[in-house]
Amino acid sequence: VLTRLAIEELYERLEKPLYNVIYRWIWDAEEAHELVQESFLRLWRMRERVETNTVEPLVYRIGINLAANRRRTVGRWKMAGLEAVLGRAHRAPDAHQEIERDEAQRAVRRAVDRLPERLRRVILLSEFSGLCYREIAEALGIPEGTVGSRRHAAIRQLRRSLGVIEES
Amino acid sequence: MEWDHVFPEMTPPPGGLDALRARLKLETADGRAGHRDSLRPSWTLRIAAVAASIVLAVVTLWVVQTQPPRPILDLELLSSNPASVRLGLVPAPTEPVSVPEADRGRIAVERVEVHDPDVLFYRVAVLTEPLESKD
Repeated sequence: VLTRLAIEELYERLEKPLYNVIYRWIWDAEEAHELVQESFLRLWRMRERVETNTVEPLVYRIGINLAANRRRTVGRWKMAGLEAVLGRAHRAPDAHQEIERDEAQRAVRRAVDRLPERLRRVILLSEFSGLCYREIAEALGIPEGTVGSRRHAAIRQLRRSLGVIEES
Repeated sequence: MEWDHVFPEMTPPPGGLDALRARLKLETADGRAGHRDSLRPSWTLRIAAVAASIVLAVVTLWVVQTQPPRPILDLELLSSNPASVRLGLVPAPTEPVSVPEADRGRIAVERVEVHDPDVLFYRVAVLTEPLESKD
């Protein structure tokens, strides 16, 4: 059984990566924050049935499902500003750079939105969650080998859309 | 564009953990309250019980009111007591149906003539309330 303290510790560790994953689904900072909270509330409600060794994939599964549902029910087409995307409002880069970044992020958003949902789930988890393939497979309920193939397909599609020159 | 720029890491708004703590606390309190409430009869149950009582009362009243009234007249009232007649205590009635002496102020019986000799037809009038005096 998960204790409240355990859930709070888990929140401290997963808040940021989960926020980044959810944000790329709904493109709204406030709602992403709300859905991260909701994910942990749902986890709390099912705490008696949760196995502690699989709790992290479970949190991501809950968060992604909430985000996917929210996106389906609310058609979201608001464009995110550069500050919201980068979280760097205080740096105030020069205007030319800002416009370029803003346009680049809009392009990223369009490219991510165009990804089929099955590819988007995999690429966002593999980029932000820090989960291994086995854990991502567990979170998404797919075979481990599928995680790798979908990740590569997503990267290929994004690179083609964005003209990415280098993969880290 | 380089791959590193595709997914820049964002920082969530501050205060998330405090907000979660508050919500978990509230959730726990709600859970306890819910458990206590589950031991008491719910409002729905109470309202249903009151409604059932009202329906029962109305049905009972309706059944009592719609039951056929107890007959005011019966043959023993309308005819003389055969035992009394046989003992010679009262004269034999001239009609098969008659009204006892005590009830003659409020019950009247009148024979109606019919053509069939095998049929005796009587019209009976009953006063349910005493007549008011015109004085």
